[in-house]
Amino acid sequence: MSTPSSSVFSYRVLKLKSSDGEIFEVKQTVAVQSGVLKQMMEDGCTEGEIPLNNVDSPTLAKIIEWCNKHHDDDVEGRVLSQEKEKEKEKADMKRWESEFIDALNRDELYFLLIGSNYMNIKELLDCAAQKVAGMVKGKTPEAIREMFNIQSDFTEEEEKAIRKENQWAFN
Amino acid sequence: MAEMAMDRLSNLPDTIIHEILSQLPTREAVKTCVLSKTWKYHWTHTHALILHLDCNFAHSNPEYLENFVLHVLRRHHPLLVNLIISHLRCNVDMFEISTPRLKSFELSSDHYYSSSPLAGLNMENCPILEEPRAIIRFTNAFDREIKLEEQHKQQNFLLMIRQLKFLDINQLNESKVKNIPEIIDNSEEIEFEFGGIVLPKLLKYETLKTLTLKGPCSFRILSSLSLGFKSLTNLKLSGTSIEYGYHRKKKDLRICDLFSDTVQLRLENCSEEVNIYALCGDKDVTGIDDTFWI
Repeated sequence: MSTPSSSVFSYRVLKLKSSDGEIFEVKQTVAVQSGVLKQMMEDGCTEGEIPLNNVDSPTLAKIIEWCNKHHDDDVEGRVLSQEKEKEKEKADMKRWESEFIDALNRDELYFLLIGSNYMNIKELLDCAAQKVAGMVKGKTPEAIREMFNIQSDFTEEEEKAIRKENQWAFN
Repeated sequence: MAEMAMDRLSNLPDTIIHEILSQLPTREAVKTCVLSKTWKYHWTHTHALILHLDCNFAHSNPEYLENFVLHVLRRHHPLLVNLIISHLRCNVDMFEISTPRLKSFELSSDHYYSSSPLAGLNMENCPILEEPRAIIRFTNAFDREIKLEEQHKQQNFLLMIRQLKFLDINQLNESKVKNIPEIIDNSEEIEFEFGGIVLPKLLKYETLKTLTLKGPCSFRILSSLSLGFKSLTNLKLSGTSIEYGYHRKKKDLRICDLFSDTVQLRLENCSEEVNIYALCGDKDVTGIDDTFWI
């Protein structure tokens, strides 16, 4: 069976296979938000199931939920007439995003970071990274270690030395 | 229970950790260096580095601060996009910045506490600063020398910068400004404040729209008739004594090749009487003296 590259665009739906073997169907226009899938579409290798070995099915479901929400509906002819409406839309989206991220537990957030990085979905990665940054912000190193179960492998002298080296930040 | 104790954050791919740290204020990102050995240098990969060196201990420990800045810049990853250093109290001969993605760079030092501002700057390998939207702002930053490497000349380094402000340049004189004409030549806005500055001659200044000269020191505009402010619409002089090299005794300013019809000349608190001559090509257009105040 020959697959010239121009025929790629006739495949309207991609079949994504999660690491645990579940198949998800995603519209091309939605999948394009993933840098990796976009590249595959351009290279014409999206036929059949696309294995995503780093993403399990609950995470992939979350990622697809995000992408569906961020899918640009303008393609289907909906036009936002007013600036105001656009702004409201933006604010609504921001609220949706923070609700989406806040609803995740620690494990889900962890796998979402890995998944969005692996699939190269910049906006989702930014959003998730921002969430983690918010958890770290304002905390002492001791509190951060406790929160994320980070074991310090510095000796007392080593920690003293590195604190001294970066004294500016600890002042 | 075993799963609870896993340190997942540290085990994330480095690129994700760097994304997370990039979302934190620089100070907080640096603090993560003590978490564990794997965290020691993660903070050196953030996109932005904003060093406000104005904390109190700096007064008693300027040497530390100087070493810290140099150590940060040496260590910091080439992904750096945005660099701001304020209240710099450095007394080093040469400041080297080698960050190929740098788009925005602001540097300021502190008059009162530094024995001498930054002596020199070497911005090798910062090609993105060529972009039109790049921002460079130096405040009281240089003492002796600004050195831009030869290679940038070939790449039209810095030629596209729209806005360039040198504030508080300390006694920078012509012989020590190396290659700076290339920076100025395509700027749209230049501002000099509190510094003895000699506008480099033999430049065309063709894109320059606004030229602001401020401060008590004297600005000497060289007698070169090749100065051509073709796009200049705004000349602001304040608190300035103008010295025009051709007639040393007579303080006057001669602007040549002024093609724009609507030039705004504003002279505020100039210490000496300034005569302005505007020349359009070879034609002398005098009599505009009355239209502004000194």
